[in-house]
Amino acid sequence: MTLERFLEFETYIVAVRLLATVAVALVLVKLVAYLVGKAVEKRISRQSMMLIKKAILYTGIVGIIMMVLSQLGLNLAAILGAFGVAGIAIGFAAQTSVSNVISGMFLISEKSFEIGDVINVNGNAGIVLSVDLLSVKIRTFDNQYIRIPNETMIKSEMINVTRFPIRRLNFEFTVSFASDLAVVKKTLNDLVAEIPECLDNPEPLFVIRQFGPRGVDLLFGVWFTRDNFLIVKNAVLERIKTEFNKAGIEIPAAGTVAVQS
Amino acid sequence: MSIWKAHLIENKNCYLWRVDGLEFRVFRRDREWVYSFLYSDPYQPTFSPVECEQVSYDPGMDWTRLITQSDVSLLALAPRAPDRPVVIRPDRPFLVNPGAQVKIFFSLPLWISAHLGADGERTRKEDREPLFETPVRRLSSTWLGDTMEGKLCYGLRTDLYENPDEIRIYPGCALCSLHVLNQSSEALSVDKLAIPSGIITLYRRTKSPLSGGSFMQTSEVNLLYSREKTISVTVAPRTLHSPDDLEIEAEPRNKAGDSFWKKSLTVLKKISNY
Repeated sequence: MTLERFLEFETYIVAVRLLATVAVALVLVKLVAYLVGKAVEKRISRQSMMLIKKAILYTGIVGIIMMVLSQLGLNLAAILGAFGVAGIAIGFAAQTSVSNVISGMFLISEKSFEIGDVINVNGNAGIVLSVDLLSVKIRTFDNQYIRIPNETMIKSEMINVTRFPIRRLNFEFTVSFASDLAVVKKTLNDLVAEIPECLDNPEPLFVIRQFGPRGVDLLFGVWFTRDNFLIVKNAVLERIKTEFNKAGIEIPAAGTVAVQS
Repeated sequence: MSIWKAHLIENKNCYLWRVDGLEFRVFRRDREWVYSFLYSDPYQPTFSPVECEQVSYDPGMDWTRLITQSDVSLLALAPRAPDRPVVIRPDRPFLVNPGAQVKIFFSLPLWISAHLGADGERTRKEDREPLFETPVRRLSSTWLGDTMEGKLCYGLRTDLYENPDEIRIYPGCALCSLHVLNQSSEALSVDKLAIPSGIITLYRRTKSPLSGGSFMQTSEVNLLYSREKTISVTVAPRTLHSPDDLEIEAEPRNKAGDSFWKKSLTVLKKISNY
């Protein structure tokens, strides 16, 4: 065997050994992340669990890279030094990404939402799928996937729709001046009492807002548990129409029932 | 006659029961069981329950279907306590003076739990297949606590009686007794009471002083307003009941010792604003 062929053979051996090491290490890291996740899943939130798993994964990957470089005989100190110099240049080039990473850390520490919450950012409403290093991913109700950079999340006004266990849905509408407001109030309270998803405590809110150009402007607020938004909205609107017709309460023709969610 | 027993359901036959505000039908076709519920709207209680009346199967109704493991023909109906705490709002709220105590009674609507297979077919309780669980009356939903933290409960507006003989206990309901003791130095206003229905036991009282027939009764709920002005709600252990008069009909949904219920009770105490 010539020296050249021997070296080639040695290189193959090293390559195969490295590949095997990387494969085994990756499996081990994923296994550790999975086991840790399983161990803590009942004690912590889904978001915290995802963060822990990602931290284990990323730390493991960095460790594997270092190990591979060391196996290849490269001087880690020199590489890290070079990274330090390169880091400054990369830092300038990757300002946005760095900003997103830092914003992500603030988002996580602020805990203003977590995975599974329904949030609304700049008019995009949806369920939070993940909070990652650079962005937050949400799924809209018409099943679109939206990626919002963490920096945007920090800068924008964000509404967490499902932060509290119960919500109030406001219905704004006008009834004609001829309507008896006591009858209107009773009709509204009665119709809500027949919808099981509406809460009787806190009590529904009834506010006479003003005397408008077409009649009396009213606000009627109904409390419900956060999962029942659509059921309550549809049921209340349907019943308002039916019961108002029965009670002879008139919503002026040009009037609308506005729903404030 | 009681509906709380095993009923024989013949193949390809449909049966109707009417209990309190609920009307339900069960139909069997070999291993396929279908059932349907209809609640009176507005609430109209039935004092005389319709038991297992054979009716014709109406495919136009809103049926739920279930395929069983094996061919069974017995349907066991059992009472159960509501699956959430029930917040009682007395029609006539009252005050309990410092140092005073009172025992009050009311009727608590129950749930019907239906299982397939019973004596002779599947004698072991755990072998029975669940068919459905449903309340005899649709109670309103109510929130106990503030808007940021609390617990979803059922709401029940009812009158409270000092004499249990004054209460008409509908089939599908249980007599619930509440012992209120005010040890504090201020009057206790009783306008809202949370009954931890998950930890109450249901008993069948075999010798009713009124009718001589049997009726359901729950464990006694004790409400103590202490000197430190804190409320504690506890459920009396069954040993306090007279054993020859009471038979256990249904065990609590949750054992009081379970950490979840311990926590829930703590939350109830914290948030009930007493």
